[in-house]
Amino acid sequence: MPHRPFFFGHIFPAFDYFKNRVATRQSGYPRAACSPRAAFVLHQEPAHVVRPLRDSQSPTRGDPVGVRTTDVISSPPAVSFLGGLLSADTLSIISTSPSCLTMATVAIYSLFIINKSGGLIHYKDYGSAGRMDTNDSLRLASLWHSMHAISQQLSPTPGCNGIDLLQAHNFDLHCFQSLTGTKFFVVCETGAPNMEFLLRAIYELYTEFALKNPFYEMEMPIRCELFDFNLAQVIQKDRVALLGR
Amino acid sequence: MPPLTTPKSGDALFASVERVNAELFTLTYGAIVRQLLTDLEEVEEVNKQLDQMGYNIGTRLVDEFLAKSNVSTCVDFKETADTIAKLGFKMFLGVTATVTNWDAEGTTCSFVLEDNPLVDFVELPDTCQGLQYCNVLSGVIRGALEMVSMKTEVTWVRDMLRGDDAYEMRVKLTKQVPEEYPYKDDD
Repeated sequence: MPHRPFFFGHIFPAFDYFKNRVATRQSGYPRAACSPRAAFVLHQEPAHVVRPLRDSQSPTRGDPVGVRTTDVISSPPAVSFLGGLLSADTLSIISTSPSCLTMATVAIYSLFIINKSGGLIHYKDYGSAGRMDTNDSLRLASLWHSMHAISQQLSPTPGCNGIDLLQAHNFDLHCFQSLTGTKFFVVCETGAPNMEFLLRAIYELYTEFALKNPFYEMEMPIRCELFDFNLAQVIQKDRVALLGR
Repeated sequence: MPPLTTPKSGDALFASVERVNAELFTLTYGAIVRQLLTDLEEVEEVNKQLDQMGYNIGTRLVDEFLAKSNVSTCVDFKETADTIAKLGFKMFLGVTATVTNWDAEGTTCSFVLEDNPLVDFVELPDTCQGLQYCNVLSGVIRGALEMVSMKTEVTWVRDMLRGDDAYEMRVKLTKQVPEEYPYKDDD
C-alpha cells in the first residue's frame, strides 16, 4: 500500500534523521498490530487536535484534517519514540500501535527530565517493556525538545507554551516546562489522572535535591542520591494512590 | 502550562518554606564576608566575589521560587519586579521590598528594603568603605532573572551601612532574550 506523506514531515527537518533509518528494525520493540490513534493537544488551542493517522491496515481510512502519513517516518526508532511502547511498520511519528505487552501493572511508564538546551538530565524507566539504552533516551529527549519548540511556532496565536499532552492509543505523555526551560515529561497509562500534579511535585523535588546540592552542576545529568530516593517515594506514593498497590 | 493552584501570597509562601534562625543566617553571611576580605584583601575583589556568589545562588534559587510560588509568566517587567519584591524577597528573606522610581520606559526600577536581615549587628569599619556588604543580593537578582531570559544590571544606590536611611538597589533590564529554537526553513 502506498504510504501517504505526513504533512508535518515536510516541515520538520529533524525528521530527516529518520529517513536514513527506514530499514532498521530493532528487536525487543513490540510489533504493530492494529490501527494507531494519536492526537497532539496544544496548550491554548484544544480545538487544534491533529486527528488520527491511520495506517494501511486500518479498516477505516480518511482523516478529517487531511494529515498524511509518510514513509520517511516509518522507522522503528522514530515511532518507538515514546517509551519504547511503539513499533513501526508503516506509521508516522505521532501514531502508535498497541503493543502486545501487558502494561497495566504500572501507571507511569517512564520519566524524562531535560534541561533548557534539550539535553537529557534524568531518565527513569518504571517497568515498560521498551526499556531504552542511554543513547536512545538521549536521542529521544532531544527530539522531544525539538518538537516542543516547534509546536510553539505552529501555534496560530502567540504565547503558546508548547505541548502539554500527547495522547496515543495505549499511553499518554504529559509534559511540563518550567519558566526556566527545564522540561519534565512522563509517559503513563492512558487516562492516568493527576499527572500534572505529579510533574509539579517532581519539579519541586528537582529544586530541592538537585539544585540545592552544591556539587550538582547545572544542566548536567542528575547524580544525586537524595533526588533519586525522594523521587522513588513520590512515584510510589502516586502509584499507591492511583492503583491501590 | 497554567498554574494548577492559585498563586500564593507572600505570607503564605513564607510560612510554607522551611525557615532557619535569622541570627545563624546573619552570622554565616558575616563570616563569609570577613573571610573573603581576609583572603582577597581588596574591597573591589570582594564585591565582585559576592556578586558572583549571588549569581550562582540566583540561578538555582529561581526554580525553587517558581516551583513553590506557582506564579505564571509575568506580562511585563513591572509585574516581574512586583513579584520579586513581594513574593521573592518575602519567601527567602522574610522581608518585603517596595518597588519605586520607575523610569519612563518601564525597564529600570528600584527595590527599597527597609529591613535587611543580612546586616543585623554590622558596622562597616573605615578600612572597608568601598565594600558593598549586600552585594550578594544584587547577584541573586541578576542570576535569577537571567534564568528566565532577562539580562539585567543591578547596582546599589543607597546603603544603610554607609549612613543612608534604607537599602536601595537599582535594577535595569538590558535585554530580554527568550530561548528560540534555531529552526530554519531552508534547512
